[in-house]
Amino acid sequence: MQIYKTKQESKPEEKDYIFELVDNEFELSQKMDLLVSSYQRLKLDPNGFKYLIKALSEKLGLVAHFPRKGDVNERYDVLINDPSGGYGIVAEVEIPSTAILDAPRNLLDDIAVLVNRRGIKPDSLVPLVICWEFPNNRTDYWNVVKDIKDILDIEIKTCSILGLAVLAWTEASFDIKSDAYYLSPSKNSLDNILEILASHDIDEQKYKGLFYPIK
Amino acid sequence: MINIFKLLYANLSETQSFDLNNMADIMVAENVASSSGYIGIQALEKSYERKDTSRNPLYNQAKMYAEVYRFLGWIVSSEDAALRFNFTFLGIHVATAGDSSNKLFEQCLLGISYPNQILDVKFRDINKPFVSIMQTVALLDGEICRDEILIGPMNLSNGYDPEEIKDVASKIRGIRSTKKYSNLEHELLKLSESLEITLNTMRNYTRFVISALVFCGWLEKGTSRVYGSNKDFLKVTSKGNSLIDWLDSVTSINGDVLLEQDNVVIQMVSKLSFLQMLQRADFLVDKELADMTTSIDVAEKVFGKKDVLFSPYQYFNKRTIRGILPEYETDMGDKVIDFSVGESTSTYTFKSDKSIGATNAMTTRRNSTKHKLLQELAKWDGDTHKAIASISSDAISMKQMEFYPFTAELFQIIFGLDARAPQAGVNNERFDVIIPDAKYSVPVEVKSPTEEIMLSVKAVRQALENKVVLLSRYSQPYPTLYTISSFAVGHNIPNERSDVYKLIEDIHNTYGINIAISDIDTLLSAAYYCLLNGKNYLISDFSDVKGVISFANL
Repeated sequence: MQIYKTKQESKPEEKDYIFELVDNEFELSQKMDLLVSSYQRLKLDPNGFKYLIKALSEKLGLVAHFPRKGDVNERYDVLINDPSGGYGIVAEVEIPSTAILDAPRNLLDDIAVLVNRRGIKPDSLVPLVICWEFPNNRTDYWNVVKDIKDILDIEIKTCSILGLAVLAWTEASFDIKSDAYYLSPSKNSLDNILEILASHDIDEQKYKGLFYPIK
Repeated sequence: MINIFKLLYANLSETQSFDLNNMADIMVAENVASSSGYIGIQALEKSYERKDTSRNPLYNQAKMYAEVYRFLGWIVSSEDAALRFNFTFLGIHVATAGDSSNKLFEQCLLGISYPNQILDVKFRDINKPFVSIMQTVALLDGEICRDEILIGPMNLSNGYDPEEIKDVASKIRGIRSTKKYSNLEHELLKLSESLEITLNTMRNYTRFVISALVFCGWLEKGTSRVYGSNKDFLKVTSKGNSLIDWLDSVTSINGDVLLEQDNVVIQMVSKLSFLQMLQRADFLVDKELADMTTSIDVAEKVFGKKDVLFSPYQYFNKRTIRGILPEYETDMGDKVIDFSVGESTSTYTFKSDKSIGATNAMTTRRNSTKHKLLQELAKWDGDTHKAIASISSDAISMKQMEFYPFTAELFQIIFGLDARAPQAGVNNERFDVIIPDAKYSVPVEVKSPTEEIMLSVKAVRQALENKVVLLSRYSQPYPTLYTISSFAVGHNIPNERSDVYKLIEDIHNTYGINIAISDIDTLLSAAYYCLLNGKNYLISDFSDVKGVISFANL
């Protein structure tokens, strides 16, 4: 389904705010606040999060590829490739996270299609759910992630946009294959990001729900 | 109001549907609604202290907004429930248009029309109120007051009739010539009595109308002495005058009249009018419109002009719009709605090469579907094909609540097992239907015809997840084997080009999991076979079965 653009939207300078969100001279906490306060604008811009994820991926040394419209063989929301590591992150973007329960099964579909139609090796794909806010503890999302690990031995990783941004801004290493991003009912907070915040004296309480479930 | 809509869209657009409580939640979280003087979470607590929703202020604010958004065509009631909503394709454009959304709002005001398929209204007027108001103002020296709007352009038996607009304008001129405002009030009182609506309620109806007219800059607030003394009046602006000239140059279409045309004409004119609306609101649709010369010719031939004023999302309900503008379908997920009915089963690409065998004995269970099947069969003199066609066509209007238990009972007849659909709202069982067995339990993903006419990849994905969840969490109550299929059942199954079959293959090759699908007609045939021959099919035969289910002897 194509959303028609307005004449106004076609001006390229309109996207500049996204690059300013990612690349600016502010302190880490100010960068975070600016990004958090830009949520509405990003969400109401049909391509807001797409450009943001593209810009963050570049800053993390990765290349984001968005599916061609109408190509049923590319059903993921974004495929993020590591030019050196030989693996790809197949990602579903769930913003807001109200329909996040669909993401794990969509990822299983994405992987099956890439493996069977494109001949990509299953172990070179890392499934990732990119969210803005973490889903609550009581949502079934966390259980389904664990079910998939138990039955299919596939670890679906979870990371928030702000988490990716903090990694990009602090030039911390982003090892998506590590356990840090495999979140399940027994451990569902991005502890490595919380450690970075602590080392910058940033109060993580200000960002409830963005690195772990709010309740 | 437009901004609140954008906030709602930002927060709710990914949900399949939302209700008034969800809307109240978002409005509070965004601090755009208040209750008892509180904003934010406290407002929610205060407001929801009242158990009775009719007295819950936040719920009612949400209800008011929902009503307005519905007649503006931005949200629409879901097919299953009037108080669950979806964003329309038009609404998505309003939300994401940036500064252009005001222009689209103007188009939507002109698109408001009664009667329509989206709102039940008590009055019988046939009208596009905003169009009629502007046309009446033009005949009244460019000024009009609230009470004149009520007795005039908001009270027309047919606003599409230019003579009636002229009549109502000359009636108002007549009252004005008496120079007595009390005469206008007397007219209004008469109207109020005949409609059995109090004066205050009637005047409240104009609140949105007047603020919208002023917001768009078509009319501005001023005063006039046409009734002798100074009275509050609305006066037409230069922007309003251009609008009036433009209204003369287009043809305003009544949805009821459009519906009398052939389906092709309805589709062409609806798409054309929607794209023209977007064009007037500065959207980049020139290319699409350039490709629509045939539709433009049809519009001119049938309605007299190339420029049409009609807003499909403000007239048609969700079900109709899906048929008329299928390319603008907005359902979540994979919404691949293919209207071509599937071909005969023998041509399916991934029809299972293994058929399901039958036992020699039948376990009988009491169930109402069995009764219905036998009744239909008697009605059609034992012709199972006719009975199946009849039941199947009844089933097309079934909602989830009926379709799931119906499917479960068919499985009871077919397998002689205690298949059941967990009651709606009981969430501890995740499956739409479960066929329990001591060794070979099968989870079933069911799509009612009101959810999707034809099984889509979305159902296949859910069937895959069901299998994973069943193995992981329910191995105790519902033992099964990895190789036993997971089912997806819909009213129809897609034709052989569908990606559904490829995906079933992809899933099998990647995870070794088998997804089997069936349409309701096949299940009905299998059920009749069992009933008439005193047999059951074997659930154990579903080992390594994928694709369209094929029952032996059918």
